[in-house]
Amino acid sequence: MTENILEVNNLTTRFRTERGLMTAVQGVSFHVRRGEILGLVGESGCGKSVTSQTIMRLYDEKRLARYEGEILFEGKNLLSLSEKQMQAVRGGKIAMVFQDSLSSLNPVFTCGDQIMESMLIHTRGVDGGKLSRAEAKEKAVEMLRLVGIPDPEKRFSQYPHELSGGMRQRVMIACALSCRPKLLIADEPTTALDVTIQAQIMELIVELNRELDMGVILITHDLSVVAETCSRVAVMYLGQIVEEADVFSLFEHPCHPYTRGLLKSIPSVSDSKREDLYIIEGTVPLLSQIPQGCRFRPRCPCACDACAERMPELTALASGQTVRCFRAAEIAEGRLPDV
Amino acid sequence: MTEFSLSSADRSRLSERRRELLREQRRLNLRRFFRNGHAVAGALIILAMVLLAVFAPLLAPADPLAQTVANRFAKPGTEGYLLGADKLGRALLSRIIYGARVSMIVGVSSSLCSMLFGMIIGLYACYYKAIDNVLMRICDGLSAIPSILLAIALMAVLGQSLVNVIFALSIVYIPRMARISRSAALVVKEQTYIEALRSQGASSFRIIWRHIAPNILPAVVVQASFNFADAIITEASLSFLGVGVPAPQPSWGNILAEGREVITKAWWMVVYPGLATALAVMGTNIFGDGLRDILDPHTN
Amino acid sequence: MHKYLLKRLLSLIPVLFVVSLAIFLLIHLVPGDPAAAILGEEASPEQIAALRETLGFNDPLPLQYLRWVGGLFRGDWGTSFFMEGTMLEIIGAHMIPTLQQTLVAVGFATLIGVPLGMLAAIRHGSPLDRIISAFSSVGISLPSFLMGLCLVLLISVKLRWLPSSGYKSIADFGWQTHIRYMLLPGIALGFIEMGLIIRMTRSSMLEILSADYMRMAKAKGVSRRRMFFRHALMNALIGILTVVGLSFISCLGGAIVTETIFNIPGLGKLTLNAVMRRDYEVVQAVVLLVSLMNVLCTLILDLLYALIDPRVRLN
Repeated sequence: MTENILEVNNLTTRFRTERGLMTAVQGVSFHVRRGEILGLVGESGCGKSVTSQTIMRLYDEKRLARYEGEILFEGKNLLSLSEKQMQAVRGGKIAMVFQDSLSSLNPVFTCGDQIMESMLIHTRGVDGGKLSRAEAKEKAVEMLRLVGIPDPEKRFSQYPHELSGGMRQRVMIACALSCRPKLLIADEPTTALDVTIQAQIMELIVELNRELDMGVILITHDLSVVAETCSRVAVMYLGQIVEEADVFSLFEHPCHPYTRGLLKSIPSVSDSKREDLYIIEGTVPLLSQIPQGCRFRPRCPCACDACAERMPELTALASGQTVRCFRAAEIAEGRLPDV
Repeated sequence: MTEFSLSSADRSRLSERRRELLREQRRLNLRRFFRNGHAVAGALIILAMVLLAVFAPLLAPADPLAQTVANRFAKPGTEGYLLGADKLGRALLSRIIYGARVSMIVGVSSSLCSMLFGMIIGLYACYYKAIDNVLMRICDGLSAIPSILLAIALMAVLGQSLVNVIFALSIVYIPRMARISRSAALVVKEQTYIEALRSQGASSFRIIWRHIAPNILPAVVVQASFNFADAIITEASLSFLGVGVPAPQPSWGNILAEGREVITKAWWMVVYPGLATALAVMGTNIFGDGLRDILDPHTN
Repeated sequence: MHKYLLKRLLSLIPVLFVVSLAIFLLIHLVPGDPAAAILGEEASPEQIAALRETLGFNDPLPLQYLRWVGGLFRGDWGTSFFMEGTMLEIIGAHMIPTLQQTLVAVGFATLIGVPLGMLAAIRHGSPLDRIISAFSSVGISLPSFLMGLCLVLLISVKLRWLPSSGYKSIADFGWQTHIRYMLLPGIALGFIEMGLIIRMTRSSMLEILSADYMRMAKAKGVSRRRMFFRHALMNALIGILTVVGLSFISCLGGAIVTETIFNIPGLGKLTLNAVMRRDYEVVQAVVLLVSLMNVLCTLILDLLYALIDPRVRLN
């Protein structure tokens, strides 16, 4: 059994806002094994980005964010590290790829410069001393080649706005992987791209995951991408994980009403034209108006009285998946056909 | 394919709904206004100035033009001269109050005037590419001349009077206003609903005035408020230099000019009108800031 | 890059045309007969008519305009009715004090304004931010003549630290004295610009600090110091440059007021006297020159943008 490179235990992230302390992520726990791709799925605003940025501690901790829980990585709790220690982790051990490549790359520096920057910070030279700029340049060009950019020497000296969206995303991936991190967090890496480019980028991520034996947290709201690339999936709703399973179990027998709703909402080509599109009733409530008890209850087709009184915990089912629902067992056994 | 047409009942319901939405929007804006500290503080100061200006004859304790040789350079606090008197024995407080009148008139008129003409130029420049280049080159050319020099030159040509000051300042502000209107209008023009209106056959006049103009108002009004502040400063500067509002009519600028000559003997002639000017400008600037936060907010 | 430069230079031509035309028209709309003004009150009608003919005042306006512009290119910028020497010599002599004043003003405004603006942005929301913002609000509300008068009152009259007026050139009196006399006028002129610079720098910095690429830099493990001094600053340079350039232009025009207060024989004083005396060719020449300097400044700014911001350069 491969070991866990990342273990998130009971993570809670709160933000200070004008209206007081808002809890964006509540009691989230999951783990990532070495070399696997974990999908983190959910609608906009469910807390997936917050979770990933909490792992990297990107928020302003003095004025904005408050964390609870622990994030274990390489035997240390990331939440207890000093800023300096965290700087060594960011980019060097855990790296992140963002959604919007145009705004995430600094417009006044060349692509090559930006890739070299991480290397110069985290990597040592051949002789064990500091990396020289020449060495860094060589490695950066290699990185560009690795991520599939043709004519890498030319692209090295170009600026972000001179490249197409797909190429920029590759440059971001090159930046992220330049120091061979153990874990890559990809926050909606393909959402802003055309469908054909999406496929290429996802292929690249899968390939690099295999080649570099690197763990990946893939954050997305696109379930089809998850089905094709991830080995395990965690579904989030309103700041909590509601279901976690290996990808086959999740798609073949999802056991949380929300997950089932998500899967039913995907229109398929084979459906007859007469059927209406399935919609999950209601809308996602605001963070300031989180319902009591089970958070999904107002929209759930099979809510019962218990759901209003207590919050269900993540419980394991026979198949190995964990579900946050009182009626998960019934759903698993097929006793609730309408859900 | 079913026919789509609105019955008159539907139409009246839609316009009722539209009126409702507009009312709500206005209420929201009002609420945002009152929550914004800057806008309220600035508005209060401006209101105070305007009241001073309008009710000057009632509020000023003495005739601003009355000279009394006996009371030359009376210190502040002497009987009947709360803020002191100037070299001709005229009561400073009254002169400052009447000066407020000048500043407010000049400020309001020139910013309104430039707003109107600037908007017209900007809107038409944005809509008709043919005249766009010409109009904008003219605006660029005029803006290349430093505003105070342009104002002085205009005053030299027109002669000194209150009306001419307003005219000169309007000319100075029109190019900036035209530029702002044009850029704001360009953004609106690119929206798809304008295209839709065009394809429906709406006339250019209608599109410009009914649809584009209301949407550029926020940016234009904010600029107008900053022009107002600038007008107070520029009018005071012109009067200070002796080419603005002619003596003996009191303007903060010419009171300060007189004060400068006797600065060692009569500090009050510099301090009090100076305070009044600074307060007025600050109030208008703060108001403009608040207005910008409400109408044209950037990410916060 | 060369294409950009060429395009910009070409676009100057219509602007210069408009500027010169506007100034020409303005001056020639002055009521009253300039020939009569030159010759004085005792001149006979025949003398006035003769002078008009000689000076070409009877020719149609377009011809006068072309003649004037032609003269400009040849270095003949007109003559003063009251002062000796060619116009360029007169202007040249008066330009130096104005430039010196402007440099002090812009220097003051930038050296104080930029750091304060950045500080306010970094410590956004803190009491320091609020104090600096309030200070900038006060700054932009104090027109130069007001600031000048206050400074004179406080520092020259009450405290007697610095002289209240006068100009001492470097050549004749040396650096120290020159600066002593230039400090108050410079600060008075630059104070309002300082307020503007603080605001611009602060808002531009705030935008930059919350940009996505700053988050990405943090995610790469870049230290906070490097994030500020390299990533943020490079992007802020453009905004700072704009506002410094604009202040230079403003101060150049606004010097007219401080020169009056502090009795500095610069372009402003020259213009004002010329306006009072109806020495209109001087007014024409000075306004034209300052406008030209404006246009030049804007051009230089644009070129600097192209140098710094790759997005401008490569488009």
